[in-house]
Formats: sequence, structure tokens, C-alpha cells
Amino acid sequence: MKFSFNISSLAILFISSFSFSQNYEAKVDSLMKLMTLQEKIGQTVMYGGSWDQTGPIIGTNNGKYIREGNMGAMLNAFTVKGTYDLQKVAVEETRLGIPLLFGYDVIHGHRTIFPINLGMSASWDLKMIEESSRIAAEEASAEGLHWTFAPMVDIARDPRWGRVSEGAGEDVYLVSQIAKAYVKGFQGDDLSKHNTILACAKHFVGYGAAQAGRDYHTVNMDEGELRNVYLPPFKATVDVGVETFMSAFNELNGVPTSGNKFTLRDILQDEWGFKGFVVSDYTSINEMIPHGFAKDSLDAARIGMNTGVDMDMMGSVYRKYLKKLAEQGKVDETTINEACRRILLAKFKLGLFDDPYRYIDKKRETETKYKPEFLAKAREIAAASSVLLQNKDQVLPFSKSTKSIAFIGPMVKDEYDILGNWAAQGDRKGQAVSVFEGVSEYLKSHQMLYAKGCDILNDDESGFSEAINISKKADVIVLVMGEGHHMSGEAASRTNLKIPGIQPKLIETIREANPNKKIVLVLMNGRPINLSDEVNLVDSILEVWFPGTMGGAGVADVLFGTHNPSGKLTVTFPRNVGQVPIYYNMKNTGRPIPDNNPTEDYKSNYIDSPNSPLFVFGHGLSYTTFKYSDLELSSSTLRFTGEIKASATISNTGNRGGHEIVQLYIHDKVGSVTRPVKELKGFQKIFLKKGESKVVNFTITAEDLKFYNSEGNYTVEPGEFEIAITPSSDFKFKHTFTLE
Amino acid sequence: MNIKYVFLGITATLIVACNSNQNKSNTSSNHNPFEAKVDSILSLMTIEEKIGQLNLPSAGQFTTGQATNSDIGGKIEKGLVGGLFNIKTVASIRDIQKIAVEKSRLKIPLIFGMDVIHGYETTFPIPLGLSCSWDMPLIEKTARIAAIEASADGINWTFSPMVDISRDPRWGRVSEGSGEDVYLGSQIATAMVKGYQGDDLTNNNTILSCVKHFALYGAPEAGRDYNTVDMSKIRMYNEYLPPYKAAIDAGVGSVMAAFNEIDGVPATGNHWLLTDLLRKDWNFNGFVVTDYTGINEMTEHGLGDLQEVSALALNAGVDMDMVGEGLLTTLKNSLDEGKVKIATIDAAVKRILTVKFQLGLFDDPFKYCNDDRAKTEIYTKEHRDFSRKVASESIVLLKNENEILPLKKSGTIALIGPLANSKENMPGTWSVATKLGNANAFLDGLKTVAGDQVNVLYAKGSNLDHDLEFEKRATMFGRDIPRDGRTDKQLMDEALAIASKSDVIIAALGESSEMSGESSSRTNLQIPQVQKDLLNALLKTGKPVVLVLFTGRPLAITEENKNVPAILNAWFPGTEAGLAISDVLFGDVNPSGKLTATFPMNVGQVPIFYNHKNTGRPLGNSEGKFEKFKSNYLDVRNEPLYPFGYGLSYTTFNYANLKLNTTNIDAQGTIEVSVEVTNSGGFDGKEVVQLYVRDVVGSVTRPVKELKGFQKVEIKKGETKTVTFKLTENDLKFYNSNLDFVAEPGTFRVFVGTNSDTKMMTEFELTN
Repeated sequence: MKFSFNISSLAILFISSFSFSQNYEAKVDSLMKLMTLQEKIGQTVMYGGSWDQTGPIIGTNNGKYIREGNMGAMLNAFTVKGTYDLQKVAVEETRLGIPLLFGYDVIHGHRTIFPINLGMSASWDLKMIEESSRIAAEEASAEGLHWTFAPMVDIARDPRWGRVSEGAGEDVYLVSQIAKAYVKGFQGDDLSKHNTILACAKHFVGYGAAQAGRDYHTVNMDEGELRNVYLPPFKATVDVGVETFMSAFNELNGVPTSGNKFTLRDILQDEWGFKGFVVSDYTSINEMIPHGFAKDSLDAARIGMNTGVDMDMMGSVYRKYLKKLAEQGKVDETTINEACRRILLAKFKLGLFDDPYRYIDKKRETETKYKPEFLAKAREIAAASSVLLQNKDQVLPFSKSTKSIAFIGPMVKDEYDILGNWAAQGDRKGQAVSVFEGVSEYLKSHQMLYAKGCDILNDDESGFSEAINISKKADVIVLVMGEGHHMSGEAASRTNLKIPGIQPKLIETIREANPNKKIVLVLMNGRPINLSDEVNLVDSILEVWFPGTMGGAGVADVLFGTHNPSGKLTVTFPRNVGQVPIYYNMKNTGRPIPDNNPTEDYKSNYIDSPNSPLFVFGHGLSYTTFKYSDLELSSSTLRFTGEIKASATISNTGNRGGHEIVQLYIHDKVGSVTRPVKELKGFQKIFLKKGESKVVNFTITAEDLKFYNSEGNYTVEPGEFEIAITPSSDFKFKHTFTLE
Repeated sequence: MNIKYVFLGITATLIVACNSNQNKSNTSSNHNPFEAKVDSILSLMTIEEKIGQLNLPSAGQFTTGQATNSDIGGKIEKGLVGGLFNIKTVASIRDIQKIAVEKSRLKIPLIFGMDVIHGYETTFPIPLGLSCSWDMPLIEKTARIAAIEASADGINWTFSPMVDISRDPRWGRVSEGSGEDVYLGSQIATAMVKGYQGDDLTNNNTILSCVKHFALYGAPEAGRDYNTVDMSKIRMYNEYLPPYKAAIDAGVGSVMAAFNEIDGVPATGNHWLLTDLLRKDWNFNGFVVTDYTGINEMTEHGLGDLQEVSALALNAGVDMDMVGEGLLTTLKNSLDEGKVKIATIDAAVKRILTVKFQLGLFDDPFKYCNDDRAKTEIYTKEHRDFSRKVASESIVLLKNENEILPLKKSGTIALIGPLANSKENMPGTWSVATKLGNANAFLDGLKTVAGDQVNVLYAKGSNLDHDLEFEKRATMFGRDIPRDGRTDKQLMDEALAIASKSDVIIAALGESSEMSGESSSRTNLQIPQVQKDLLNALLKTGKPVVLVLFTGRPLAITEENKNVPAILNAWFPGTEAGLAISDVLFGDVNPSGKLTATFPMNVGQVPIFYNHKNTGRPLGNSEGKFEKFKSNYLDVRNEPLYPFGYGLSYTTFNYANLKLNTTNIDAQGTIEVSVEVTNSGGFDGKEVVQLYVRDVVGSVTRPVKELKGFQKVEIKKGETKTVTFKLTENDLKFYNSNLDFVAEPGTFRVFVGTNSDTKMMTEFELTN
């Protein structure tokens, strides 16, 4: 059914006369002429929705704030029923009837949950990632939502940090591409459509570089690092028209990012020309007080508004203090006007002034959840996000006729953790397909043995004996283990990167009991895990992250070869936590280790660990094999205005078809500042049939070679560059060209 | 015998020989009293001779009489060498100097450098250990003694002090510094420079000091030596640069450029660092030397070929090229091609010549070559006694359950562990001039101090590490712990056998000295597993166990802290190691050392340091209970195992009556902070009373605590002393976002206590 509504208020009448014009600026202007200062401030205020057992309710405070014109947006308020009730108050019971904006953390799916973002990034499939956010927007918008607090585009090089799970890994180029894909998927081509929603690039900026990997901790870096590594993904979202930004919790070089003029005004607005609005993170304006940057709430509100945070998420400080600050002259009214203008503009773009109930449609809500095509896509993405880390003796894929497989581990039948953290409205109570359930599509029950063995975290070994028993009976053993979903994500940092609890001991025990049997480890986790022991204990390792609602089915498709795995790591897996931070695009240093003697004294190495990680960025195996020909360059000279082509022939030399992620890396050999030893500058995901060969071409222009120098200029420097087309970041350059 | 210096030269040396008594100069003063002399020499020099002054090769050791025929001898003769390092003894240095002053055209004397880091032949504890004494006169005297011994052996320049702040125990060179705090680090930097250089550099027992590694070398990514450094300017200014600045202010004569990059440009080629900051802002007038092949390594950094990076280094402000000969081999070309200016080369030469004047080398190039001094002033009883005292002051008592310590001088002690009977590992890393075999092993010292009433049994108990290859790597350069061919079990059984006969077990465990120091980074901060197994076996005997820990870095000894009743951190105590440790174990010296670097719970907490920022979501409890949506870990508390400033005594100190004489000060004012400290235990003792300040609100975020004062006071048992600190506006200053050094009005908290975890607090206001 459709809700009917009355256009009763002055503003809506006034506005609707313009409704076919796209000149939102003028509309905002005319609307703002009608608004009091208090009403303008109201637009900058966001609160969370109230819920009771039956669903969202208006709530005493929220109802009051809406009616008073003291609230412009809400988070965690959705469902058609809930948003209708709230919107009705805003539209019908306020002086100007300005509609509310409803936002929510739709991070990797809304109802249909896709793999965690780190997992999805391992697909390197921009189209697929865009489809995932398109589906998320479909489902979210069908429940009244206008806005998602995604994508998170924070570069993270520290696996201790729990929110590494929410990002797209460590590489600036790849993260930037993925950031754009998410934004396009959420926002679509036309924001006024009922199935597109505002995206929000977060957390601006540097949040992923938390000291010691501890969430919310201090961030410090030089400006070159900020500009070359951490800012570009945000810039990429601006380039594709992201409508909103979220300021971060962390400080950057002594100044909290929710009160940072340099990042919010100088860079975001002045350099990049961002026209959308900036929302704080959850009470991040207030948190400038414990940061020791704001004296009190009044001061925090002043700093937040003056530095360009347009909307206060949950902090109440704008609602309480902005008027007073304006009266005291500490905040200029034009600053508040500007914030209000930016927020209203977004509401216009969403079409809320044409129809505040545009996203509120009961029929659509019912029909959109868990559509079969969404679930099919989720299954496909789960498979495409899996990374085959190791596959000794081609243990995988399994044959359907395998006599018996022992499935052991706390996550075999899991339908709860499998969704990962920040799983929005994903159902953790049975909707999800467990690995066991997924595999049962391929095996008959007599082929499947199961023992849980142990829990994820506690140290109860009583289940070991049963696990050993069934392991001995089976032909092959599959361990499904990992972290609980709450062990990554926000405020979920770890100092120990091993598989948690007594699971490693169970692996050892199973191996001891079955010295000659093949063991496959299927891993669910939200960060790079230290697998230094496991690589020697098991034969194959399939990293499936938290694969989402259809996770078990997607994983089963990989285990049985319906889907040939093609995922590649987007983040480095260290040998141990003492190597952290470790990432592929490091600097060379003045004393790099020699190839022929990596342990040489007085070189940059450790006395107790190799420099190399366990699994490199870009690593991932397939059930087939790919051969790369030598790279060919169209010219050994690139002119500033010209381009050159790099190509290589990739052949599928194995015995089944498969996808391969072909990676292009470049190294600027000499610079006015030190440059990374290699940098990803392109990739292509191609499909090759068994025996097939394809030529993969990349075009390189001077633009691809630019970086920020010591003076903060985005520049390209002539000289020699090394180039390679390879299957992972683990290679030596053999080819060069010269930029003239 | 004294060498009589004969003026054979007819040119430069004659010109400068007259009027040579005016050289009591402070090297950082702006006026250069030697300018005229330096200029007159410069005017005589060819371009090759100028570039030669910038060249610092490593000498190696020559057999007496062989120097002339060596490759370096030839270069010196041609005027292509300005100084040498890695050479010692009066005879060798005299031989080499003779070539310079007798055979080279201009007869300019050489300067002789060496890594005299924590003592010379008499070694003191490693610098990290030494810093734990918090005793500035003591530290200054170690540098003084080092200078006396080094200068008596022909050396006039030391590559010390290293003042790199480090917050990463993985980094091996944390052992060479003074820990994590800028305030303490600055005091120690000053003390070291004063000790080496004395009041008068022309004295034959003072030597030129070199502050290193400029700058930020202690912040390599992932704790891996030589790795990339990345930090904002504001962090540099507030958290890393002050100790270098302190050394400059104390008149240090030379500065060593670091290996690492800063803001994307290696320190060795960083004009902002070496010229804008060091010379213009800080008024440094001495010379800058590279670290070992620091120029050449800029090629690996990706800054260009040898000629390019050499020109870059010179133009950035480097004066002397250690080992790499980049300047020697390329500068002339660069000059011809206009890539460097002659004025820049001249300026570098002048700085080096000026220092040679300041050292008095033009008056007497052999003034440090005194055979009598070499015989009487090196490794003297007096120096060694002092080393023993210093070592005992540097030891930190980490745990002492049930007052197991001090031990009685009776009964049977089982001394067990791979570090128990090693002389060679006692001096610690970078002790190049010591005679390793002369050092006092723990076992020997223990027997001496224990006396006749104690029966000391010894067993090795385990090898240093189970892994032979690792052990070889960790016992290089003669710092042996001979591999015992028996199995781990056989070794352990032997240890358990003597343990069963003992009243108390002392486990001498930890790192070998070469597991820290340069190029010795670790990803694992634990005691090697085979030693942990040994320790656990010893604990199972039920006998009281004292762990004496040898280490060059903070270790993650969380398990040991839980299981072992007493832990004494000895670092690497120097040549008198065994005596000093035993002095403490038996209570002849009551330990008073306090940690200057945080000991983490595990390596995953790194970097962890006391003066961190509060964040926007600080944890609401200090018990380490996890709170969702606060800044903490799922699997370990935020607090370290032992905080900065931590260290126990055999007695106890109570703090009371923290008072301020006023709660308001302005820019001109002084506030007095006083506290009463009572020795409430059973021993006389020393306590390092620490004062920390927190600037509650700033224009930038400020640390939760910053050390702003400390006093080491001796308090007799039962006695109470009032300790008073003075704070002025200057103590409250910091660099803001514009890099202005300012104090901002507002509320400040003052904490006083026995370590950085102190909660004893009061507040005052700074007003305009």
C-alpha cells in the first residue's frame, strides 16, 4: 500500500511550485529565507531512532525535537512504518515541513549481506562491488533509508586495527577504484530515484593509521604520506560525486579530524571543491573534549561548526549551543547558513521536497528484501571474494564423489558470525547459509561428518576427542575456523593476530592424529591473520573472510570447483605481529637487504624474522595455472603529454577455465623524495578458458606517475621508471621506460 | 715519552702557530676566534685538498710502522683525508698523524674518531641502562672517564651521545639511547656532551662529541633498523628533536646525520634539517658528519647516482663524508658542472678546520698521543670502581615478592643460565675499545661479593637459543656464549640437579649483547624459548627464584612477571658487571634505577609510551577491563607491564602532602610544587621523585602526562624529606601547529610520584 499525505505546510507549497526545475540552489535559497536561525541549526542536528520490541517508534525526545524544528536527520531509523511516522511529524507538524533525512550503516549489504568489505575488495571486481552497493541501496531505500554511512575508504596497514575489515585494504590505487564503485552503486545516476541513496565517504581522514593499531588512537604522519597514501581514496569519491563525508574520531598531527580546518576546509572544500555536507562521526564533536582540544561542549560545537562539520551526529552540541555561539559572535551565522544549505541541498537532490515519502513504500519494502537475484549475487560475490592462499598437491577442489569429509570447527555450522561485523539488518538467526549447509548441496549426508571441536574463544577441549574420532574416519578433513564477527570491526583491535582461542591447538591435534591425511582450512576472519604455524600443518587454506548471507553456498562453490577461486589479497598477511606495519608499497630505505643474503648484517632486517610477509599483497591461487609472457612496451620513452602501452600475454596453462587478476606495478626509480619500491597502477580481471591466451594491455600516461612532492605539489618527475605486469606484488622488475 | 712537535711545515702550520692561546671556545658560539687562521689556511688549499678535508675513511688497525705504505697513508700524503676513525693506540695514531703533518703538503693534522659510546676500555652499562640511574652527575662522569681513556689512547672525537628518542623496543638501537622521554633524554644529552668535551676542548683529556643520529632515527617503521621514518613536523618538534637541540645548546662540536628519511628526504640530504633547522634556527656552528656511507645510501633511497647524492648532501649541509668517498670522488665534477658552489665547499672545510683548532691540533697534532697517559689513565682501578658503582645504580628492580631480595650472604646459591658465566657479553653492544675477556662475569662477581659463607653452584642450564644459527648471529664479534653441545634436556637436568641442592636459585637469562644494538631488530620481544623452558623448570622446583635479566631493550616478560617472585633487570652492566649485580643482590647497594622505556605486555602493544595522547575515547577504567567503543584492545589491557619511571627499592617510599605555593601563575611567575617523601621501609635508599604535567586543553592535543622534573634523593630509613620543584611558564611550553614555542593559558595538572603511573595530582592555572 501507499501512504497518502497532505501537503500542509507553507514550505512544501512554496517549494513544490518549482518542483520540475533542477535548480536546487535557488530552491534552497528561497527556503532558507523562510527559516529562523533555530530552524537552520535544527537541520544540522542528527539523533538516533528509538525502537521498542515492535520496531521503530517516534520516541519522546525525538518527537519533541522534530516538532520544534530541532532535528534534520536521523540514524538507525528505518522500516516503512517507522520512517513514515517520523516523516509525518516533520512534514505535518513543523512550521516549514522540511523532511527528515534517514541514515544508517549499510556497509556491506542491508538485508542481503555480502562479504565484509575487506573480503569484497579481494575480488578486485569493481562491477561486482558496485552491484553489491546497488543491491544494498535497493534494500535500504525500500525501508525508508536515504543515506548510508559508507563507503569506508580508510587505507589500513595495521591488521591489529579491527576496522581493517571494513575497508578495501592497504593500496591507495585499488582502494580509490573500489571507493568509486561503492559510491556509484549507492548513489546511482539519479539521486532523486526512490532506490538510490546518499553515500558517505568516511572516515576523513587518517583513521586507519591508529597508533599501535588501537581503535580511535592517535594518528600522526607527514604531509607527503597524507597526500600520497591516505587522501586519494577520499578524493576519488569526490570525483564521482559522493554527496556526504564523515569526519573521523582520530586526531591528525595534533588536531582532531572533527575540528580540523586543514583537512575539512583547506583540502576538502578549497582544494577539492566538495559541495556536499560533512557529518561528524558518532559524538566525535564532543570527543574533542577528552582529546584536550575543546574546553567544553560549547567550545566543541564552535570548533566543529567553524571547521566545517555541517551535521552533529548524536552529540547534541549543535542543538544546544550553536544559537548561543552565534549570538556571542563565536560562530558566524553565514557558517551555519552554509551548513544548512548543504544539508538542504542533499534533501532536494533526493527528491524529498517533491515527495517526502518517496522512499516509503510498503509494497516495495516487502518485495525487495532478500530477492532471489540479490541472494544469487551475494553467493557469486562470496565465491569471488574467497582467496585460495595455499593448495598443496591440488587438494582442492573436492570431487562430489569423495567418500567422506570431516567438517570440524566452531564455524562449520555457523550462521551468526558468518555475516561479519556491521551487518546492518542481516539476519543472524538462520537466514544465512552456513558452510555445512552450502556443502550439502554437493554431498550426501553420509559423506559428511561433523564435529565442532571447540568454541571460537574459550579453552574447553572436551570436544577434541570427537573431532579426532571423525577426522580419523574421513578421507579428507575440512577445518572451518576463525574469529568471531565481533573480533574485528569497530573497537575490536587485537594485539595477537593468531587464530583465536584453542583453535590452533585443535588444528595441531587433528594433524597429529592424521599425519598423512589432507587437511583444508577454511578461514573466516576480519583481518590478516598470522598463519605461520598453520601453513605447515594444513595442506590448503581458503580465506573466505566473513562471506555473508550466502557465504556457505559461495564457499561450497569454491570447495567443489563450481567457482574457480580468483580472489587476491588486498592486504599483506604478516608472519607475526612484530612485523607490523608491513605492506608491499614500502620505501626501499638506504640499506635494503640483498637478494642473495637477506640476513646480512647492517642491512634493514630483523634478527629473528624475514622481512617478507607470509602472504603478499595481490597473492591468491587458482585451480588452474596462468603463465605470463614477457612484458612489451610500445615505446621505451613516455612524453609528458603522450602515452605508452604495456602489454603481456597471459595463458591459462592448467586444466580448467578461470579468472585471473592481472596487476600492473610501476616504480619511480629516482625522485626528489623517496618513492615506494612498487606501486599498483592498474589491474584487469580477465577470464581465460583452459588453454586460452589473451593479450592484456595497459595504457600509461604521465598522470599515472604523479605524486605529491616535498612542497605539496602534485607533480611528475622525468626519469626512469620500472614496470611489470604480474600475478601478485611479489616479483622483481625487469623492464624500464623513461619519462621525458 | 712526549713527542716534541717540530714545525716542519713552512706554510699553513707556521701561519697558524702564532697566537694560539685564545682557543677556549664554545663551539656553538657565533664568534669564531680561529676565523683568520682558518681563512689563511683555506687560501692556500687546492680544491683537491679542500675536498680531502671532508673525507673520513675508516682506518682499521695498522701494525705500527705500516701506515705509510697503506692505501690510506697514500691518500693522507696527498691531502685527501680529513680524519680517520676505527683506529686506536698512541703508537698507531702517532704513525698516521705523522704522515699528515710531515708528508702532506699543508700538514693539516687529522682528527681521530671512534665509537666511544658507553665507556672506553672501562665500560659502563649500555646507555639505556645508564639512563635508568636518572643521575646526571654520574652520567656526565661516565662520559668524562670515557674521554680521559679515549684521549689517552690517541682519540679526540667520539660518535656519541646517541640521543634518539625511541618508543619501539623492536628496534635494536633502543639500547644505545636514553629511552622514550624528551625531557630526560635532553638532560642526559647535555650531561654526556659536557662529560666528553669538558670546559676546554684544547685539554688533552677532552674530546669532541658528536650528537647522533640527526634526526628521528629512533622511529623506524615496524622497529626495523634503517627503515622509513614518517611523522609530522609537530611531532618532531615536541617529541623527538629536543634532545638534539639540548646537545647543540650544550656546545656539542659535531652532529651526525641519520640514515633514515625525514619527510621523504634522507636526513643526509635534507636541507631543511641540516641547514634551516640545525644551523639557522639552532645556530649550530660545528660540523656535520654523515653516518657510515650515509651519502652513498641515498642512491638506494632513490635520490640519484653517487654524484647527485653527494652534491645533494653537501648542499643540504653535510661537511664530512664517513667512509663512502662520495664527496672525495665527485665533488670536483659537481663543482665544474655548477652543481655545487665553491663557497659551500669552503664553508664545510672551514667548519672542520675550526674544530681542529678548537681541539688544539694545530698547536700540537700529537697532543693526544701521550704514552704515559696511555699507560696510566686507561682501565684504572678508579675508573673500574666507578663503573661498578654506576652499574649498580642502573639496575632496576622490577619485582620483589615477599622481599626475597636482598639475599643473605650465607647458604647455597644456584646460579643458572646462559648469561651467568659470560665475560664477553657483559660490556654490551658498541663497546669497541673494551677487552671483552677482562669483563667481570656474573659468576665471578657473585662469588667475590658473596664471600666465604656462601656456597655458589653454577650450571649453564640452556644455550642462549635452541637455534644454532640464530645463536651464531647473536654472539658475533667475539661476544661468545660458547655453544654447549649437550641437548636441551641434559643442560636442564644438570641445572635442576644443582638447583635441588640450593637455598635460592638465581636465573641469569635474557638476551646476548648482540641481540640489541645496530642492525639487531627483533619482532619477538620475549626471552628465547629455551630459556623460558629452563626458567619454568626451575620454578617448578619450588625453590625461590630470582631472575636476573640481561637485555638491551624492553622485553615482554609478562609471564615471568606473573610467575617469578623477584626480577632484577641488569641490562648489560659493563666491565664490572658481576660485582655490580651482586652488590645489589646482597643489598650492599639498594637498587634505585627507574625504567626510562616502557615495558609492554606484548609486542602487539608497540609503540607504547607513557606520554601518549588521551584520544577522544579514553578507557574509563584502569583495571584493563575491555569497554566497547573505547580505545582499547580485545585481548590485552592498554597499560604496559611496567610503566616509564618504574623501579622498586628494598625499602618503601610514601608520598604525602602534595602542595603548590600558589594555584595561579602568569608568564613571569614561578610555582613551587612540594611533596613529602618518607622512607617507610627497612633500608636506607634512594628514590627518583618524578614530576609530570598535563596541559588539559590546548590548541593542539597534548600528552596525558609529560615529565617536567625529577630529583634523585637519598632518604634514610624512617626519614622524611620534602622535595620541591619549581615550574615556570617555560616548562609549560610546546610547539603548536604553526611550530611556535608557546605556553597557552589554562588549567594544568601536576602529578608527582614514584613512576609515570602516579595518580597523586593537583592543579593550577596559567594566566595571561
